[in-house]
Amino acid sequence: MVMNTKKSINTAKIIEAIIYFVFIVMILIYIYPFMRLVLTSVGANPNTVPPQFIPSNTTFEGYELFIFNPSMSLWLINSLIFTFGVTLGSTALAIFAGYALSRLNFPGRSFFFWFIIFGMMMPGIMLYVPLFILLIKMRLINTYIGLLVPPMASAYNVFLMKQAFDAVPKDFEEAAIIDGASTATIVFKILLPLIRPTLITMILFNIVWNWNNFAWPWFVAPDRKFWTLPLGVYLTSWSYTVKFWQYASGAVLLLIPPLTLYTIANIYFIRGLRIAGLKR
Amino acid sequence: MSIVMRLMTFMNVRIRNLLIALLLMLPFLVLYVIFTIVPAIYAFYYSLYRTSPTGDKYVGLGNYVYYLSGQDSRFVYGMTNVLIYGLFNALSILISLLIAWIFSSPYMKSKFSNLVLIIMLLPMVISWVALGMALNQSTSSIIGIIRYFNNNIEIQHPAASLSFAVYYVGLMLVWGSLGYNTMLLISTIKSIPQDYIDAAKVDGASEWQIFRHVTLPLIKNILIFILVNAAIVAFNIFDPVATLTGGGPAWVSTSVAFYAARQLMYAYNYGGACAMGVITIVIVLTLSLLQYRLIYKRLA
Amino acid sequence: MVRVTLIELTKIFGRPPHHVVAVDNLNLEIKDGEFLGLLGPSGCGKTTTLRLIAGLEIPTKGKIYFDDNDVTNLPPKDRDVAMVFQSYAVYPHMKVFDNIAFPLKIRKLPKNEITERVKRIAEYLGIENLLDRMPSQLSGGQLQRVALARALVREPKVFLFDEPLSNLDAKLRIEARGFLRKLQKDLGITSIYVTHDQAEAMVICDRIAVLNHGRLQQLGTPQELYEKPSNIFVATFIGSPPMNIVRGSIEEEQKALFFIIENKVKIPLNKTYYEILSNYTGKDVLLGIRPEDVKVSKYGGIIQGKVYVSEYLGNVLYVRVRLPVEKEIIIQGTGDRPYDIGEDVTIDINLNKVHFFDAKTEKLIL
Repeated sequence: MVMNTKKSINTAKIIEAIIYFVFIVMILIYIYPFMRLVLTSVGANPNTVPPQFIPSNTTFEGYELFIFNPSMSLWLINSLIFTFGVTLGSTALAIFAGYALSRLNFPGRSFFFWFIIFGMMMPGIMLYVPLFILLIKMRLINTYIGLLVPPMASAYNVFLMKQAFDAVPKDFEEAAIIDGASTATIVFKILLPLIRPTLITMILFNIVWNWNNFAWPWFVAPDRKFWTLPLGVYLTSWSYTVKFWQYASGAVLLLIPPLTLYTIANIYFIRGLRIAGLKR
Repeated sequence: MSIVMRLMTFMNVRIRNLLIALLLMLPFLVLYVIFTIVPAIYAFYYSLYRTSPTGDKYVGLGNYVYYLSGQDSRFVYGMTNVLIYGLFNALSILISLLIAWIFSSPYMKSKFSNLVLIIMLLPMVISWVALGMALNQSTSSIIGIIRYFNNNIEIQHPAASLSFAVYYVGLMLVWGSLGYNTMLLISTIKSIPQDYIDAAKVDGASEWQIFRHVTLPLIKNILIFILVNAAIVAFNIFDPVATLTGGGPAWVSTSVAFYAARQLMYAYNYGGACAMGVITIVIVLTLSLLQYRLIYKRLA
Repeated sequence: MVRVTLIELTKIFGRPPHHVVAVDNLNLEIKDGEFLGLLGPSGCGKTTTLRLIAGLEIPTKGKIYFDDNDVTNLPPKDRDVAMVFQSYAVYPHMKVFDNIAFPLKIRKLPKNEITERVKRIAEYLGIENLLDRMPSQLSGGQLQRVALARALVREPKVFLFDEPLSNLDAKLRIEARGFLRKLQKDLGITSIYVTHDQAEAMVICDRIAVLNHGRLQQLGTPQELYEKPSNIFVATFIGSPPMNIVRGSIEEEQKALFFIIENKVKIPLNKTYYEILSNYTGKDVLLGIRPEDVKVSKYGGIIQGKVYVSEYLGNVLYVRVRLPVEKEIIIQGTGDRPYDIGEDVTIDINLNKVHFFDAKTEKLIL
């Protein structure tokens, strides 16, 4: 009996060691790149041998450039407009459409549902290609409308809202109807509060996704005036005149908002990723 | 307005609901049709033309023949890379399975595993613009450290290497998706009723035997679903390619999506890009339908 | 075929101040070959105790012995116990044959031996025709026998049952009760049976350990528990319908003792109890009497009352009578005919079967 416990203690120790090893490896490989980026942004050159961890000339010039330089701070403003505009728009659209699909019994409901699912099955990026052509014909390239409006038609959001509404038992609505409430009151005072967690998760997710999106603005807004922050940072990083600590600062500025949101609203994000992953 | 309301009360409830529903869905539907459905149709239409600054010429299936027969080396790179990236995605899932198993074992202190998971999920909330830059610089710095200790080694940055760029991007794909896949698999593993695990313990199975005979078979369906997803996602890969290697050097690491985008924007090759788009859409749709059949088989 | 001994077994979940003491200092010895019941309401710690014996939980304090071996820190696979779960836990992705064979396959026994043992057990339990089916195709009763087969095929030292009959319908449950008891007697394997159904425990087990809030209330044979409950909890938990409990005090008048309720009802007590009860003169006690020892009739009883409700069950007729006191006290007894609500009746109590309890702790007499 003593031998048995000794063996199980040993295996337990080995397993614990493996677990801690995995922990440390994971933490290292995910923290190091960000740390490296921040160091580069203040002037530490990553390309020298050995790479600099302490900058030879500490400089905040990169940050100043992005914040105070009008052509670059414009990108920041565009990002804000884009992020909040699209999030607001697609959320509103999704709430209405999701409510209709979930709560209203009308002929053709399943057709519309599958119609939307079909849209979710399309590979997103590849649709940008013909979409670009369409927008040129509509003369919406390099306009705020062309930038903001198309992404508002988010089938994912509609699907999420429909699922959220579905999850609310009909009893609540029926009790309110018997009590004499109007549809508007029911939606705003009862349904929306009940789906609040999912709604918040979806909104947070949308904010982060829209803020980080650079492929879409790249297609739709080639004119510098309309660049969003990620696009601006990306395109300047390929240029030879911009210095490495400059575009690194841009990248750091770029990741601060989502990172802060993520740290604060941690629970919502994890729930959101789980829902999003199993949604199909 | 009230006249409309009064009129509406006379109609059949279902018809009335239809009208209300259409009204509510209208904004979304309008945008959806214009910006998702119409482009899909456009893609088919334009793919039949060869476009150039001098004029468009109808070529029927010419574009498809051109790309699918392998005459465009960059498209070939794109397609093979999509396959390779798909495999890397699958690799990421397998590694995540292992990590998920470790993280859901009883030896794990859940507070730590939550913390590590949160850190591993960082790539999901940060733009690839920043990620690509951070990763490239980290790789440079590591190369720099190695070369500092051994002056004679000549290591080329993988993003600039003809032979390794693809694998570099693939590896970074694994890095980016580990957190998400692990989290997904952990919740899948945890969804197995504890009774089955307890019964296996009492029956005498070791941790590994439990994993192999009980856990794995019970998550098999979701695992397959996730793997098919990995294949579908591979077709959409754009951001990592754009920010890590820019598709190069010499287009070796490009994905189909990236190449199509560049053809469109810089070479004004609408027809070609659309043809590539249609090919991708067809493949992805097939895979998606396969996925749905898998779900229904599981529910049945 | 072992003796299981629990010494000061304690299990605490969580940390103060939100901790839960699931099992509180349990001392119990289960004899070799005995069928012991762990009986109690939900949350009393019986399932936790079972899981501790199985090795699925590690005790916070205390020890567990199989014969003279300390198994407290051994994992389940080294204890050689078998368990039948409430949900049966039949692996849904394996055929019935593979389910039963699983414990043997894990131990890497030779294939032909596995086949032979599985077939033998399946025949013994009458499920040999189900061996090729998948669990999803089986009924509750069949699944239960598969779970049993899987536990039996190993010939373990101890058998653990976690409410195995609660998912069956009433008729099957009654059939299965007898079947399980006979099975255990034939095999002679030490068995521990968790249930919240006192009738089930009474029918199946040799001895029963009654638990509440993690503590052992009483350990004894069904007869001992029924006729000599050691506290109020056991008295009211065992037996259906439950024992009547009435609060009152003991008064003495000319060397005779009486049980007084609110100075309005006075019940004379047997002289034989004088010795013990006289210590309680003037104090509050609880009187307990089972409904079958209370007769309700129109005339002739010692206490008057008004009928609260009649319950006709076919083979027996229960009448609930409200006593003429301030507080609402209702006594359930057997009646000779169905009375109307509000009718005046009399109650007669068999004074030889009366129990007295001190403010919930002790029991005094039969």
